[in-house]
Amino acid sequence: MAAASDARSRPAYVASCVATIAFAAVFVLPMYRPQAVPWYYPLEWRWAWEVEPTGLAMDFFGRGVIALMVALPLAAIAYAIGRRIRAIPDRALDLLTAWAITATVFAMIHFGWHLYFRDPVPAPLPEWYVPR
Amino acid sequence: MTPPSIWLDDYATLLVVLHAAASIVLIGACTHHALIVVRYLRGRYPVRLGRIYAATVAGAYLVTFALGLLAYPTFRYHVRALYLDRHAPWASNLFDIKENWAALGLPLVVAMLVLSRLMDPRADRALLRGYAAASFMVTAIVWFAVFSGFVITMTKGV
Repeated sequence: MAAASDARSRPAYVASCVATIAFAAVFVLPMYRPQAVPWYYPLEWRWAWEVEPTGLAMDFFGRGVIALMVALPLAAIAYAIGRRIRAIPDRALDLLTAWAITATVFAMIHFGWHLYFRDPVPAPLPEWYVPR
Repeated sequence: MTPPSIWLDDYATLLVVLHAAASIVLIGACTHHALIVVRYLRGRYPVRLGRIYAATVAGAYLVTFALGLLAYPTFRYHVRALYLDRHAPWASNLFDIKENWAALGLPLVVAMLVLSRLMDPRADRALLRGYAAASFMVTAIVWFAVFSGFVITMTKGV
């Protein structure tokens, strides 16, 4: 029973760690080097694939979708490889755990550090504006 | 001139209230789940309860996250661009930290759900260590996100 459980649980854990590392890396990557991502322009109801926005826009959706699109196939590949390995050693699992934690914490620290010191530029107040 | 039309703007208040309600379920479930994981680490195994809480955490996390995404366009313009960036930039920055950290928690939540179904904490200590790490990180992210969300909403809501 334990062996049958191992046959699925360990490969699933490897896939989870690979997905976590890939998601964190791809999600934070555009903050490091200019990279085109999908931006959503909420006032214009449109999407644009670009490096820098030309108006009020949000890249959060686009970065998340791209990170998922990279993480999910990599997780599937990792699961398939994991299933072919007879016994995934504890040491490999511990190493993957450490990498997954490091990738996530590194990305969190990066966002925290970068955004804490950001000086946001407010949008000009429109004529109709009444605080609500 | 009239205010611009933004997707789901008319429902933004309702969405944020539901977002807050789901986050209350989430913070409770993930705290209980973390306490169950502590019991696993100490050699006691309420596995069924752990699975129920892991599923509750995953459901509540996804619902909370999705509701936040739906309200985000309205927040981005009416709250952040027109108010917070001008009068409370620290709250703008806190919001962006919160949303990015919450996104980074997504794969951990899915990993936790999958492992809760497949692993036997009595038999596999290596998986239990990873499971515990995911659980504690998710709990930390959720506590930070929920309380910073309350602070931001008290500063300026939709």
